[in-house]
Amino acid sequence: MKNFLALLGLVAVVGAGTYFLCYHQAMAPAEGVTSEGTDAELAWLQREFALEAKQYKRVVALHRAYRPACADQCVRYTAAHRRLTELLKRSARWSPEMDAVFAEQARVESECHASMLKYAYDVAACMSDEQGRRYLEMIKLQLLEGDPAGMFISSR
Amino acid sequence: MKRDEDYKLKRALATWQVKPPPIPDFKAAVWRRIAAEEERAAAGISGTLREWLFVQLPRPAYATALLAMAVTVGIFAANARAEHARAQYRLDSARQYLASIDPIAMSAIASRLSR
Repeated sequence: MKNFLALLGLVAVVGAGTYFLCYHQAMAPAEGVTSEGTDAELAWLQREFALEAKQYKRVVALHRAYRPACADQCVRYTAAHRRLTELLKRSARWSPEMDAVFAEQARVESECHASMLKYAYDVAACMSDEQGRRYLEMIKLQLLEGDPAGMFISSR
Repeated sequence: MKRDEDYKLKRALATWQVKPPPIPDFKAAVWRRIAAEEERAAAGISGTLREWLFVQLPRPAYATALLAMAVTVGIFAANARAEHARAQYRLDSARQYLASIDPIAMSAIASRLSR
């Protein structure tokens, strides 16, 4: 009986130990996110799309050039969206102002999509053909479905 | 001659009757034996199991096999969980990246945070 209990304890310790060791070993590449001076999402991009140092440098340059324009568009879109939301809250019926605000939001949205797509095609051009195709697939999923889940978790 | 002998044998067999003396309490004895056999069999299974668990299993050969099985199960379970976690991590990272380049997603996140 004593030997049996000792064996059970040993089996539990060995099983759990193996589980934690293997889990941390398997997750180690995913946990090391940041690289020197770059954003975590760019470090991920480098790993996910197997970017070589030269390709990565060009992608980082494109990303840094695009960020201010992207932030500016974000501000404009947020403002247009806020105007539309407020107008919808206070108006009881259709007005020509609504038409203008809708048109403004649609215009800003279209500009956002166009500049994001241009940036994405520029980034894809820095990658190998296969990785560039995968990258654009992710961008298209984001634009068309609003989420890239279909590309990363197939069972969803 | 042979026919004569056959005839005699046939007559002898025809008259031969076996009358065994009745065994007292025969049926009850049979049931007692069946019950005893069943009891022995039941005690046998649990006894064998106990003997196997507490005496045989801790022996080096079985114990080593059991430990090897624990290691294998640990590796498979860890890999299955890591695979799922890696897929989720990739998806989260992709969302994070896309949110950093999509002005509309950025705006949605900002308005969610300001609420």
